[in-house]
Amino acid sequence: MKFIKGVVVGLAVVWLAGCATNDQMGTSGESVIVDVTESEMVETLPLLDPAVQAVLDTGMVEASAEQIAELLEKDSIHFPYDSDRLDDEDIAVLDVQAAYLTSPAGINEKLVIEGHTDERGTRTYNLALGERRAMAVKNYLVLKGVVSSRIEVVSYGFETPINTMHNETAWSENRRAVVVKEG
Amino acid sequence: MMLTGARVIRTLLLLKKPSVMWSLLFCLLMGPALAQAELTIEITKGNDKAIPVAVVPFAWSGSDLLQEEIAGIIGSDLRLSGQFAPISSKQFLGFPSKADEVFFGDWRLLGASYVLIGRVSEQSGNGYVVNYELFDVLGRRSVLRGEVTGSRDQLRAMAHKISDDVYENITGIPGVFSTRIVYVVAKRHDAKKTDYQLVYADMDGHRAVPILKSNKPILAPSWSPDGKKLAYVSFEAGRPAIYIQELASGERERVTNFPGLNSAPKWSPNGKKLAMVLSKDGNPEIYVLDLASRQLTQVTRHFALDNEPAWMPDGKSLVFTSNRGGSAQLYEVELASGETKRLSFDGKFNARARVFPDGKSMAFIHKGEGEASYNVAIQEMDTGRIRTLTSSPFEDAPDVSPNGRMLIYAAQGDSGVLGIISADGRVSFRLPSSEGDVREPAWSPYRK
Repeated sequence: MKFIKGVVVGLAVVWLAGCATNDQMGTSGESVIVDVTESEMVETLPLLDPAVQAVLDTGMVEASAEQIAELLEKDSIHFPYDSDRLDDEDIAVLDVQAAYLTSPAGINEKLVIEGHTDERGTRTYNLALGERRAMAVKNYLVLKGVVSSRIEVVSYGFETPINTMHNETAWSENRRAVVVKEG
Repeated sequence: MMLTGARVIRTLLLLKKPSVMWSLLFCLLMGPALAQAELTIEITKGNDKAIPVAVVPFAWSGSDLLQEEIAGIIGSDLRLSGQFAPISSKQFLGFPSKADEVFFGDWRLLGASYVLIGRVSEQSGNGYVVNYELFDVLGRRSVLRGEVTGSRDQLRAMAHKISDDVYENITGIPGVFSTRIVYVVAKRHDAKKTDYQLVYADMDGHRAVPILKSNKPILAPSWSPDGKKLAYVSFEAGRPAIYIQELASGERERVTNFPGLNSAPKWSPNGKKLAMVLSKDGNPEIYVLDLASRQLTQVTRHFALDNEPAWMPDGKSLVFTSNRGGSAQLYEVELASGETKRLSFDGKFNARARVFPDGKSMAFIHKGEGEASYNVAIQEMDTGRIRTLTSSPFEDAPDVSPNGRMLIYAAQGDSGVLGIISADGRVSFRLPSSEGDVREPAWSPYRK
């Protein structure tokens, strides 16, 4: 791993023991504390989020840790007007979510998927459209191996907009399915 | 102020100058009547072919102020129908309250086709009697005479009853002024908190009372055909479920609570069934629930979204919305055979239909080809011809009055209001509320 390049030795020994997979570490052996004054010589990385690690471990997703972390963060899927179709971008998000939910780390999570629409059309039409959006997300996750009974679907139609303006921006923000993890 | 007014009137009573007295009474009593309204009527479009009618302030022989100004309510009802143009009482040359005080020449001079006069008197106890008489000015004759009785808090209802009788006598069509509406008022406090109320009111927006309060959405109220119950969708349990509430007692029952959607309940014309939308098997489909046996029958089976059932008046088929053709369009399904045909072809969005009582046309929300707005439209069933009636950007929830002459709908935007429009599109009114966002209106059947 590139962050041990160079002369860091002793200090790193204790400190990095946990995640060391580095040969240098094993061979250096001395546990001398060295006062490192030139801090630019060390580079630290945060531990991987266990969820990201879990997704990586499944081998189901071809993406970097950073990409996976970013996709896991996304809890909303957005839709075009009067549509419940998932596009490639949505699929990428849901593939990562599915990998996590079927991994040992996520296998006990239960989900509620909320369906929402923009204000156009009728309230009752939108209630059904929101249901279809949430179902589209659920169906994809089930296709990817998430057990159906773990996922509840609820449509709010246009009843709970996140943007109450009346323009294209607001409409596209409001046309969404939101994945809520219930733990 | 009011006490002074009462003294003035009593004094005038002693002086026996009817014309001055009644116009004063009219002015004094319109104040409190309007202040009580939660919804106030604004005229947005008029009708130059409306029948001119003079509604003379009714004489009152009691000792205190009348709570409601009967003639004012009748005049407002007749105006709301779109078929009548009440003449301002400022132009009146006299204020007759008895048949022998009506001088046809005077009314003809004002251009009135009809004159309505009346008298209110107190009965023993707490009751009131209103006697009224309608005159045909050109025919120079009395055409209708009647009497209604009731308690003090029924004065508005008594006025609406007279409006119904007058309307029916002149047009030959039963009036709907005694009918009621329900609608939902939403008051948004912030992104996390909105209060909802299901409100019951006279069709003119007066006497509004909440019948259900919730902090979760309420939608799609539907009247039972006897006018005694409402079915509606409430999110109070966290997800949409269908409830039936008895109006008089407030008692209610959760009718369906399947996983997924429980939406758009619509009572059958005979009151025995409830059409609805359920997605319990994964996709929104139309079902019919037999209310006595609780037997559920699936009506549609299609991978598309099927939604918003409305009954044909014979109860044998349902009109519904489906996007099976790629956009939201209206279809009709015959319940016995399951045979389905497409009804709407014009435009990209046609939804939430309500069939007129005669079954000859339907009202729905329509977005025309290349247009941006969602408006109330009427389509003739046999010809398929569509007329768009309204023009604000986001309209919803049209419902037809029981006599088929008027429509109520919701106009959404920064603040939702209700609109009433005559079925011929000539006259429209808005019922803006001071109380928040108003939506989801439903017009009651005739009151029995």
